[in-house]
Amino acid sequence: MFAKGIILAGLLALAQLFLFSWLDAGTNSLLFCANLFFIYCGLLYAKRLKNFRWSIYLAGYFALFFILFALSQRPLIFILVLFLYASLFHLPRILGYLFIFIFSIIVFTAYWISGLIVFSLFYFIILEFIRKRGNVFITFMLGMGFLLLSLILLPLINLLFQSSLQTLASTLNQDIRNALVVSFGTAFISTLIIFLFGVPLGFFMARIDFKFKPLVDALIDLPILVPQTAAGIALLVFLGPKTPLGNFFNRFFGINFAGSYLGIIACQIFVSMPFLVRSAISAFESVNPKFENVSRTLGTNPRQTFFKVSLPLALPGIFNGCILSFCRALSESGSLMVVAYRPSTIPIYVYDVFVQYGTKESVPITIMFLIICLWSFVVLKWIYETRRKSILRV
Amino acid sequence: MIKITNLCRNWGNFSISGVNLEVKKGEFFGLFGHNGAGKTLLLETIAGIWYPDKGEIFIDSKNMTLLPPEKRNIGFVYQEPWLFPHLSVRENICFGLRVRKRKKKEIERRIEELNVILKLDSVLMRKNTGLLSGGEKQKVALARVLAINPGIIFCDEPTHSLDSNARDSFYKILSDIRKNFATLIVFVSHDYEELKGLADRIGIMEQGRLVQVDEITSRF
Repeated sequence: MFAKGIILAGLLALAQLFLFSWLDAGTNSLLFCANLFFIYCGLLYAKRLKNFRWSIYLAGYFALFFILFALSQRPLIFILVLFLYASLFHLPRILGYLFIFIFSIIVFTAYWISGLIVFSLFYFIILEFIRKRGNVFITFMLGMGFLLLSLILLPLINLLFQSSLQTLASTLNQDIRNALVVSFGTAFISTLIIFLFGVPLGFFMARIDFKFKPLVDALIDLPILVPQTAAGIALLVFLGPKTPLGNFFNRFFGINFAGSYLGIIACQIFVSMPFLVRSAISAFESVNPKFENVSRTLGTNPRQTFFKVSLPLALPGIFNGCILSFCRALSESGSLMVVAYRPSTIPIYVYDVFVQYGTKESVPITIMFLIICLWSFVVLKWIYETRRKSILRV
Repeated sequence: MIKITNLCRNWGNFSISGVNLEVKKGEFFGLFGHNGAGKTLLLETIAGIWYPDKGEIFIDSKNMTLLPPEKRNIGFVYQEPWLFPHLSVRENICFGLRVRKRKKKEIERRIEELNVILKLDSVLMRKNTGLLSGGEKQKVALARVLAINPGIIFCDEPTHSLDSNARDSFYKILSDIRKNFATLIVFVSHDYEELKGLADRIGIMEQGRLVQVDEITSRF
């Protein structure tokens, strides 16, 4: 033990002397602190670890020194990493992530975040492989899944780091604020309307078998299949100006669908309906009909049974559908371009800026939009989880 | 009193056909049959969950054939307790009373009465029905049914997943109820020995038909 301490202290003192000549005083004193910390941790590990692992600890120092200090000339990162390395050495898994971090910073300087994510996932897969005691098939499944997920993750995360916070703050002008209000307002109203009409449909589909059920089932999925612009044109031809229905609404109610909030809501309902209805169907299917039978024999009529038993039990699943539907409505753009370009929602606004000014101008707004959408999704999911737990008392 | 004449119902891949049965008030009727014999479906049809294709159901000499289940005043205890997971134990028990818009005082009094019969003290304060034991759950399910004071109780293998202790106490509660309230009880089981110890008469079902009804002494 004592000998190990001597070795450490001697080596590091040498290193320090050698470095004094060309580093500035501040960096050098930081480096000195880092080295002292390294020695302190080394002495602690000397008690706990066997000789072999302890020498790995020492070798790690030299490896870091060589890579970060000598090769890539980054003393500050070396100091930071040294602190992390010394304190995390007893947690080998996290140490692995640390090395991936260093590796991606040095090798993929421009894309280091994407690199970090990909290699972390890869590392995670290998760890899972070891944890599952070498079940190759399951690990293979995991790897395949992650490939798909990284295809979604990488462009989005890469985009998030394309702009500075200052640029983001400066993009928040009156136009984008209006677009935010329009987007969230209309998406909320559309979701509410789909909820009111979709939940009864979901209940019916889950409980009753009838001859044309597969047909209705396919009809529910139809908006996913129809191209968004086609949906927009269909709505425009049906409700737009100078069509019989559009004229009727215009004359008797003073309502215009094209280029108005109502048009936006109509489009959003059209495209986001399947998500809520599908969730409602599976939510009601997961409620065992025996609950309803018991409730009926206890004296509730069908309406009371629905509101006192079926709906409360299915509500977590339906709320999940509401989240999906809301987010889908929020991100709708294709049909809106046809039916209601103004007042513009966020997707339309982003597209507008992209067409007028190009990529450079539209990137910060896109990031803004992405952050807001992801944030609202996360918040809603969080509410969903807490609600689910309180309803089902699990 | 239940009287069924020529009850038929077809579910596509299974059917109940030609069931004739008469059960008197205060009788303990056992219904025996193997898995898939149609015992549960027969009880559900009598309780009004399904409407029969043919035949008639009389309860207390009123024709109930086309009445919805909430008008029949039949308590149903399933094999699984099916306690409503979004309600607490107390809310589960007074579910039927709340639906009938009974006053709070009356509900409290009814729960006290049930507490004397079923000894519910240990479970009544519990919020989460998921954490009750199997026996406790079935007891709460029975309490929930008894709360509405049904003239008829259907028990569809309620003791199936209980241990012998919980089973015995369940039997005891049933016979107490029958003595005190002259309730008609139909008890379904696929265990003939179990029924022999409980029932006055036993009906035997096979493939959707009631093939035999026996006084318990005449069979052996």
